[in-house]
Amino acid sequence: MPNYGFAIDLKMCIGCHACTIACKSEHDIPIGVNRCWVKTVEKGSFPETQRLFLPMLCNQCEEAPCMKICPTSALFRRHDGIVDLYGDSCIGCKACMVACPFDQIFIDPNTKTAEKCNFCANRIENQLEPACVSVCPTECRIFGDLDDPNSRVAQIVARESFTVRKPEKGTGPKVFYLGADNAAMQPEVAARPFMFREGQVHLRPLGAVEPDPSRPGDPRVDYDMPHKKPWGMDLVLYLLFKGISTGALFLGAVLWLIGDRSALTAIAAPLISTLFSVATAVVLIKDLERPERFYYILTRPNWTSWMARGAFLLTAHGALGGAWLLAGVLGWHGLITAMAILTLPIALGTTAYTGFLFAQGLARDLWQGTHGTIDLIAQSAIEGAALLLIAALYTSPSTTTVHLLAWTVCIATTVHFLILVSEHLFTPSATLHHELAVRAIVHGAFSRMFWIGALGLGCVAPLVLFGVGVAGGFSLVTLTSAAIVALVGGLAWEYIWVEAGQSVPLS
Amino acid sequence: MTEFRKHPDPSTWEHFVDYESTSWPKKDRRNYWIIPSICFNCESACGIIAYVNKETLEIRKIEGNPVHPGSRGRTCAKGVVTPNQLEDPDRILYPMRRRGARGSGEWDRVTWGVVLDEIGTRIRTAILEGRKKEIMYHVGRPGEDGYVNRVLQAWGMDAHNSHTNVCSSSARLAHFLWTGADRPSPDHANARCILLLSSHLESGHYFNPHAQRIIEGQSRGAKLIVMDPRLSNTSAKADLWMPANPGTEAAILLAIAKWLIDHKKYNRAFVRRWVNWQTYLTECRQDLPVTFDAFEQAIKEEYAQFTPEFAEAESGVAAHKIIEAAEAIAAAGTAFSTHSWRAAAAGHLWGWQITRSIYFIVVLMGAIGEPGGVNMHVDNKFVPKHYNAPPPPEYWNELLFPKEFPLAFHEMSFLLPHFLKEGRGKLDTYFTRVYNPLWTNPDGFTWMEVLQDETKIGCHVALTPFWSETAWFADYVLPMGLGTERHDTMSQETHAGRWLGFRQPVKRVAMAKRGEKVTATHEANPGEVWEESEFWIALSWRIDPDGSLGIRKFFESPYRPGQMITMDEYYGWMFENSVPGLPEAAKAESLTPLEYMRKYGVFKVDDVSYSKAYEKRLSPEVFAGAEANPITGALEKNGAAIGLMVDGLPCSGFNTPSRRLEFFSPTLAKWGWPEHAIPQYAPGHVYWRTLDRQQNEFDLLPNFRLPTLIHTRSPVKWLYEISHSNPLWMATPDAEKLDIELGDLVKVKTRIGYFITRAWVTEGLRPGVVAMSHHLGRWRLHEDMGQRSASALVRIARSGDGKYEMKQVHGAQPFDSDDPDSARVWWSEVGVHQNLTFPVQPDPVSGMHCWHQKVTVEKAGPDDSYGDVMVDTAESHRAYLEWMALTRPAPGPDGTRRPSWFDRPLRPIAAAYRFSDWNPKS
Repeated sequence: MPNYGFAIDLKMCIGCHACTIACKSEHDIPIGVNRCWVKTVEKGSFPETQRLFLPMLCNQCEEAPCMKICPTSALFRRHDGIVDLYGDSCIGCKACMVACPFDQIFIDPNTKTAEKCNFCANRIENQLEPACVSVCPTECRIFGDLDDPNSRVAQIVARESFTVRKPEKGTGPKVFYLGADNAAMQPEVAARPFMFREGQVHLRPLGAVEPDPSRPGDPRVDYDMPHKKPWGMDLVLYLLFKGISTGALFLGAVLWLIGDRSALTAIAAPLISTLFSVATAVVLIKDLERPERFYYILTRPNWTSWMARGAFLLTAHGALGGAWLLAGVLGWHGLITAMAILTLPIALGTTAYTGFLFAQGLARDLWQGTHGTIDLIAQSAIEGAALLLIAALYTSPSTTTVHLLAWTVCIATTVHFLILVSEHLFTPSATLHHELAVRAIVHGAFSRMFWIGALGLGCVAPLVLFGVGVAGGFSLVTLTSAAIVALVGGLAWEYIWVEAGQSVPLS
Repeated sequence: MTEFRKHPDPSTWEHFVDYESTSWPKKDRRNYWIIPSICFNCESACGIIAYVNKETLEIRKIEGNPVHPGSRGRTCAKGVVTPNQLEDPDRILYPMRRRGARGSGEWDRVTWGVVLDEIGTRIRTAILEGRKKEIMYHVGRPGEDGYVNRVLQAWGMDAHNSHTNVCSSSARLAHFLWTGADRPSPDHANARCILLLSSHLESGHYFNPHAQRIIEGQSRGAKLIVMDPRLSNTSAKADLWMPANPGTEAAILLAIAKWLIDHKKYNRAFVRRWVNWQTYLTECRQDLPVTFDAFEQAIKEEYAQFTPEFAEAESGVAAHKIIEAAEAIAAAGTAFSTHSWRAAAAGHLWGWQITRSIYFIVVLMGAIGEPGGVNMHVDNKFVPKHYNAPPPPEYWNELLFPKEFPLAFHEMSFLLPHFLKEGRGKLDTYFTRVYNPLWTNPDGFTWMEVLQDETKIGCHVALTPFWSETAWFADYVLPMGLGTERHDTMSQETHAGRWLGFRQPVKRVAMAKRGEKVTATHEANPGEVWEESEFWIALSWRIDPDGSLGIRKFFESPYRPGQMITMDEYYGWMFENSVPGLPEAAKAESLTPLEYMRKYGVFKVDDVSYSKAYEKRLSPEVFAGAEANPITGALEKNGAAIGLMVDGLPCSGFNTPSRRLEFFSPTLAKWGWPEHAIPQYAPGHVYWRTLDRQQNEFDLLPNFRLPTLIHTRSPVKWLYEISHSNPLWMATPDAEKLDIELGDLVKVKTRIGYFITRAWVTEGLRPGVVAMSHHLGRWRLHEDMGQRSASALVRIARSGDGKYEMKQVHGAQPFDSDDPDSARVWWSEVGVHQNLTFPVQPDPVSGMHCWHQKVTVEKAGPDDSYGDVMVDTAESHRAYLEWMALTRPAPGPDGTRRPSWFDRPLRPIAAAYRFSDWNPKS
């Protein structure tokens, strides 16, 4: 079986954009999005100034992160190594866009499904070279079978020194660049100005390096067409709603199992959980570009995808909450005990899977690592406890319950605080991408929200209020206000985590 | 191993089955005819193929034609967007006639019958009343070879106006003075050193074909040297970038020439054999014997000051880089190619001396007609004869070639409104085609003024597929076909070979394949879009319905006497009778020549032609009776030079009067410019040493193009998405001094006005220079008439004293149309129309508009907004008069308006060259 790849000789690329347009024409690509384009970077000082051209297209990675994360297997690998996309299966969840480290996937505004370069598989099956190869005036693109030692591309890759984009991601890209300059290859290196030489900047990631007028010779991007960041407020609300839902049910189960038989555990906890499960489902479906296809995730699941796994966990969790609520209303306490036992692993899994899902977003270094999962659990505990404390105002539960919930808020907030501080203020970044994201959080576009919202309201204020509340004999009102402040601060952090995570340029 | 093709093989073009990509990976098979044509989005005439859906007859996509020898199956971005143009929601689909005042924006849709009757009657009346000279056809890039010239000749009119003088006059004059051919044809692919005074890796004629071959040459080891004050994409690919102070390029070039001579690295034998050094010595150095050694000594003295250090002091380019360039050229020998077309040559007063200087190096290396060298275009461009050639016009049109510019290449097109204002003539009927003079030319408000004045232009007919600033001020707007909707033939000197390209209306061809009877292209085109070739035939019949004017006969079928000629007949005759080798090639495939061209869209006339025609031995019959000039060796017979004695052999020589490469130009010497008779360094009208930097004076370089835009025509979505505005390039130290940051609004003041745009601060530009692409800044006066995704809606206010003020109401905006993309337009600023603020600056010799402007730059004030333009047309007319005062008018030494050996696109009879009242003694 062939294994197709590209070699691009950058010494021969003249930056004419013929490939960009040939691709648009071949695939009828709307404006605002691109399967292939040519990034331009300038560097150096007059008269030793350079302009670098870097044609971008899909790498058809050996270990394609987009395929792994796609919940419905819409992305698949052809027998010839090409990663292709079956639009009819795509629900428009945009997970592939957070997974692709190369910004090569976008939502087609006409079909509202994901789109990406497929090396013009439609042409290849007609024995025709991809459109960008066929049009190129200088023939700087060489396409062929990497596994065929007689092919030109295989010989070039064997003989010449080449680079690929982001080798550190370990995805095994199959587009090889000859004569590449790091200033163009590494998206974080060059500054991103607020306008280009030939026009406006379509999208400028918030965490991009700003040009420094005192260092005019530094590399600066002069043309690029990044895609819109895939995830936004829907995902922020998803994190919050799901955190509440799983946290409330988990804590409800713990309280139930240690003997709290009040309305708080019998009714309020499952009610809160169920309401927020529904809200979670609503924001998730609303976030889909093709919401009417939401059930594909259950009917065509891809078991390597944490989004698919999560969908089943969420479903189970929602069902459990609903059943518990029913049992609570009907007074079937025996059944609740069984369900509470079942809730512990399921609620925990439903909380934690999101950490794995975000980490499957390989493009985003901020989301990598286990601390994200631990933090999600901590946040979920805070959020669940906060809602239960508010509910406690109306259900007058036992002191033990109040103490337990208050201490949950306190401990979870402390854990959350330690993670925020250690991860973003003290741990050195392993990658430039991570560094830029952290810089955006600590010093950049998200700094006010981080310091005042996430740390101030989300951590310091609740801990102080907790202290006050404990000193005041576990004053429920004070503790509840601590919980509410923690919720608000938590929302701020969830916003930052989603947004800052996606604020670094990928192309 | 699968073998991939770049394009479908022509054997499959009749029945090509493709997988539709938009429904992939479902395998939807679509059946296509692949029908070739040639691109119309610049003058390169690259081959394209259209995928015509057999069911819907829609064009799915455009690709390069693999059998085209010039473009070799590849296109630039502009070629591929042809479908964008075809489906442009702002296309004009029906002929329109003005209602109300000209420019008021009120239009009536009319029929083509009415159009032809009314315009035909006007022209007929003008002819009958002896007012032929009041008819003018003004074309931008014609996109065809010879068709309309023939029409005008058939009408008996010296009526061809062009855009050449805002484009390439200076380069043409320079090449012509040297060789008698006005265009170079570099063989970059085989060069060992390529010196570009141009940006052919991104623009220019012939961008795609030349870019392919420049990079091919560079990949094989050629050294690429680029001279440009700006880091163009071409500069960016150079092995050696020489950002000279604008207008000082000749200092470097002559320094290189001197270095080659001093180091005896030049082709001495070639120069001795082919250059008119004898004339130089006899005219300029009577103190020396007429020997080549004396000449060598004389030019060393002539150019003694051009040391690398002198060149560095003038140009700002380090001396060691200049020597590096000279060494690379020396090492290349005859495999040395160059190009100079617009850029510096078009930028400066005496710009033609820059091109002359670069060609001087070509001559010194003997790189003419050699592999890897520079051919003359006449060796690489093939123009077939059209059938039934009409006689030349019998009069001289002074609105085109006024006496002030006897050596201009060519028509003084951009001065037309000033000529009309001065009362030098008036126009009854004025056709504009592929031409937007109001926008493209300097001093556009003067154009606007004249276009609105019905006493100066009686009727303006705009032939155009799209609205333009000029079409807005027309009486008739007639929609014409795009690159896949018309017939034309074209050939260009893209490389060392010759070919003929055939543009055809692909849908019409497809309809014929389907067995439908199509009698005219508009039956296949959308709406009522015609093709020009058929328009001219129909109009000519209306002008002369009964044949009494002697015009109709030129538009009758060569096969069916007395009947109107069809496109099949017109091009069928051409391909049968005037393309050598085509009938045989067609026969080998059992096709008629026309069928062959419809199938392939191109015919390769020669594979490789390094003709070195100058070396061709004269035949004994031609040679018989010729006399050799004792000094120059020119062979004269019946008063005309027919060749040259070189080392005792009679050769053809070059197309100059001396049949030699004219280092010393007797023509310039005799026609008023003796001080410019040899290649010289003459700083231009914006010379860096005379700019007052304390007063923030800068040299504005306004004439560069982008690889992604189609001149002023048909801005389309895919291209505009990439390039949509033209900020002012400023060097970092200059911006810092003026406290200007990237993106700030700046005010750029010219002699006649100012404009407001944004600054783009860069390290890619020589300090002291500011630069701005001339592609952008399109505008419209009506919300819905114009290119909405690519133009700004503006308001223009005029005060009584000729002052104009333009304000942008808004830039590009999303809008609803059949194309969902039009609602997704995300850019708003679409550039600033800088040319409005430029006075006309005609070079007194070549007639070239000298594009560079002396400007002052400052930060914009609180009342300034993006796109503001202010112009004083009274001042622009004063500037015109000052530049006119630099001219040295005809008659020449023989009492004529123009040297008879100088080209004219449409040459009148010899008698028309004479001034009727010329007295040799006066």
